[in-house]
Amino acid sequence: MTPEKSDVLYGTLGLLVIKTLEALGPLHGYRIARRIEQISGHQLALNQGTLYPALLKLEQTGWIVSQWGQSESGRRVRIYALTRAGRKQLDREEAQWQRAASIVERFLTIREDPS
Amino acid sequence: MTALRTLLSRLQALVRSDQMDRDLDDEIAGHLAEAADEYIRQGLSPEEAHRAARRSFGGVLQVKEVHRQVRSFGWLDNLKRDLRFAARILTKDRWVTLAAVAMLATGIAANTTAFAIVNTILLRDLPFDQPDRVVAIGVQGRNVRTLTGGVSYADFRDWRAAAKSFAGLGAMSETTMNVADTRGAPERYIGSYISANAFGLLGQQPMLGRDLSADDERPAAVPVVILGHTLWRNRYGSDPGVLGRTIRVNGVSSVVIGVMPENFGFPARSRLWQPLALLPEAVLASRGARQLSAFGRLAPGVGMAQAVAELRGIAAALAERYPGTNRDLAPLVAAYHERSVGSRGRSILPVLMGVVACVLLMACANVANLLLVRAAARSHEISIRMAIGAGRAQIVRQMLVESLLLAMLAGAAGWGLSLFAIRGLSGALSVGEVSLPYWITFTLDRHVFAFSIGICLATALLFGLVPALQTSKPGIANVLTETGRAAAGTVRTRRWANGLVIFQLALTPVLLTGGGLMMRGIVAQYEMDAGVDTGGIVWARVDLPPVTYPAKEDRVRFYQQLDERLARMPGAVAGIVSNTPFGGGAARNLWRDDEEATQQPRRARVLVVTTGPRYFETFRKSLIRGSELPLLETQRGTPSIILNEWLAATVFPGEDPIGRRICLTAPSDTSSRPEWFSVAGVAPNIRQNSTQDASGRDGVAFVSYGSNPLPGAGIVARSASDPSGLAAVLREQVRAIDPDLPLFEVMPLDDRLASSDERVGLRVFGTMFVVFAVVALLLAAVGLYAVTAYAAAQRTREIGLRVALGAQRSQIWWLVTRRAAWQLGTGLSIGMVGALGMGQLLGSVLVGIEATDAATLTGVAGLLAAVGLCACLVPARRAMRVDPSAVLRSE
Repeated sequence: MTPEKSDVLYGTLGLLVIKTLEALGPLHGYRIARRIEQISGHQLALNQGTLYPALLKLEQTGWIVSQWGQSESGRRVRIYALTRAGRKQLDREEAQWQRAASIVERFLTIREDPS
Repeated sequence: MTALRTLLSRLQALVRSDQMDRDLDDEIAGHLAEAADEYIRQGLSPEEAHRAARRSFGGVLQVKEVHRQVRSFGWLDNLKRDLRFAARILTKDRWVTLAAVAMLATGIAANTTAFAIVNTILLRDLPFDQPDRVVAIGVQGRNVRTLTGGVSYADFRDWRAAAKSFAGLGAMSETTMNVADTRGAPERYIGSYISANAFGLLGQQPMLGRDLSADDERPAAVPVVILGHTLWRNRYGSDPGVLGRTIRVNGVSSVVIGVMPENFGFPARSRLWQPLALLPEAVLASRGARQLSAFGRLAPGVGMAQAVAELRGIAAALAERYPGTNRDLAPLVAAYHERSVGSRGRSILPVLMGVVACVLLMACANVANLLLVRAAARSHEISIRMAIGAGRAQIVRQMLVESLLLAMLAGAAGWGLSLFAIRGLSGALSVGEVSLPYWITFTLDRHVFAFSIGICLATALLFGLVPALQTSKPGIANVLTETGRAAAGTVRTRRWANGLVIFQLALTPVLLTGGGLMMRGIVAQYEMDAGVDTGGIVWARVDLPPVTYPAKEDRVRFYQQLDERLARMPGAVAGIVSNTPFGGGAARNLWRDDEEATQQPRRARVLVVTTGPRYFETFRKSLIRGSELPLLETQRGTPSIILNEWLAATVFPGEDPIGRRICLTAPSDTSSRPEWFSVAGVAPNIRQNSTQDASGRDGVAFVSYGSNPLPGAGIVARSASDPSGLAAVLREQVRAIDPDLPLFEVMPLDDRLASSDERVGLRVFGTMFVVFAVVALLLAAVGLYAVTAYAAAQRTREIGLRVALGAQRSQIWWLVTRRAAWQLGTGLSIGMVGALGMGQLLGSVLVGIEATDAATLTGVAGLLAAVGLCACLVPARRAMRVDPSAVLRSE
């Protein structure tokens, strides 16, 4: 067992998915899951199954689309692709995330000067 | 935008649910296969690879569940599943379902029907334009309080001229009108004299021709008539050419100027209308002739209180100017529907609603018990479901969905039942002369439907919530560890069941007492001794229109001719009389010759019945003193009067009444003069009053048509041989005198008595009470039986053991019935208190019965106790037959 795996931060799975799709183009569910695991350096405890409800949610909001296609091994799989709305959403969320992260960063790095 | 898109895709998913389930399955399978491939490439064996793939995927079922939640409306999907499951449970326990639906349907039908009645009579808007602005106006004085009648034409004109708070005041007098023309026999209809503005005030226009105009109301105007739709259709074949034709109404040639639309009979059941100007001169001229009813439409922005205050002021001024006729009279203003629904109707309807609510509560209690028992049997299933992760909320929701489904089934059945009941009710109430206003037609409309749905939902909660909460109590999980029998929940369950049974047993005497008192009331009314034998008598009536018979002398002449003809009829005895037995009479105050007559009544009211010769002879009775009054007395002077036995004994105790003089005054007509009579005879008691106590104490005096020529008479006739030909003979006699006069209400006297408002009302509502009481008794018996039987069945093992250890049969009997007896006792004690209350409530409606009728109360208690014992007899006998060896071996 790998020690100290973090849970996927609540609400960030969607961001991870669309970022993955932006980087790698259309993918099927298993590839997306593997990619997220790889990028996180196997630091994330992702139950691969939880990906599917997240994918559905993204599809419902219209940020990704899906269609049946073939995997590299010729298996019938569902392939997800980013839409234009999804790309815009990614830009928005990236910026937001960056800002939020930098604020948290600043909090964590502040040292009170003993004066 | 995204929200809308989400909604759309969810709606889509709702429709394609199965397809999406299959897609997800495929997708997951693909995922797992891809993952396994990769593990195999990493060197795992295929078996290990598949296992590893599943592990990294997580719970497949959970994913599917979450997917489903996200995909569509979670609650809807759940509801669909719950419904499907509930339907399966209900079909599986077919008999339980059937019993529950039957009981609930009865309760719901009772409530729907009762509400339909209340809705029709009290709640539905009157068919007027802005009905809440229309008020009925009557008078109240020292001795009167009426919304129908009580207003004189002179007063009405003064009110109309002075009142500012009304958009308009109208007046009418509903009476009977004889219609004659060149086609067919004359017919008698209910018709009204109305002020010209009446239809306009209601916002109702004729469908053909024109409305009355102010010109028609002038004294010298050409007489006109507006026909009702029914009359137009039945007598004139819906011929539009009837407009402009002249017909004779009460002997007056009148021009037909209009036809009213269908289902219109203002003020109550009129079929034709004429202007007020055609009322007899005497009625129009005399301020004391109070035959009109008034109504009005409040002016915009004027409240009821303001209008009342203004009218009061006008009336006070009139009273000052005309003290002889108007002293002590004030206008009485009320919502229009109070005019048609008497206080008796208004007081019985809430009682009825209460009764049906009780019936429904009892049905709910039974069904709740049934579900409790079934839930106990299902505790295993439920604990398994909880063990694999179902929350309490889910269990409760599931069980409530079941209840809801049950209630809806029952609601549908109940709706059907009440359609049936309402049809029966309309049929029962449309007999004879029942005088319900035209808008009272009992139907199930959307308000009733909404009520019915509400009742269904409420019942579902009522009977479903307790079992649902009970069975889903966390403690129930223990069941799994036990043998599944003496489960933890059953004690609690039984406590609830016992409570419900006591509740039912307490309600039953209340309803039974209501039903019992009602039934005794009906019986009492039928058994009430008329004092005469009414069988074999034929009844008919004739009305003399005031226009063709304006003066006393004209009417006396008619009655003289009629009497001569009746006397000469071969093979029959016949006489005329103003009121049937039980049919009341003219209420008068009475004074002896040695008292001073004032307006203050000092003695019991007297009912004055006007008769012709041979009235008593027709009933095969003879007078106790004196002989029947001749139509015309030979001597001029004080007219003769005959007192009934009771009146003679009360007014002249220990004295000889013959030859004494008495004085009668009319309590409601303030302008009438005291009339003096001399007592000429004593008659046997014939009941005229149907509403007082059954003791036979009503004072009746008989006067002659010669001295009191009323504008109408009834004919009683007894044929020596065949009564069936009598009607035709009577009709012939009347036509021979006046071809325009129709004979109406021709029927056997017994039928006429049975169709009086009084009796029909009591019969219909009484029957409903009795039916509900019987239903309640059955429900209570079933409830007690079920609980006792269930308890006994639960204790079969214990009973077997006790028998094996030597318990006597009587001890076993006591063991089983003890609880039932206790419940019965408790329920009865609480219920009898309620029963007394019920008696008080019904006291105002019942005839000839004490509200706390001891016989009824003991009867109810006895009946309930007997039925209750019978209900636990079966389980007790079954328990006594328990074979200990069989029971113990089965363990």
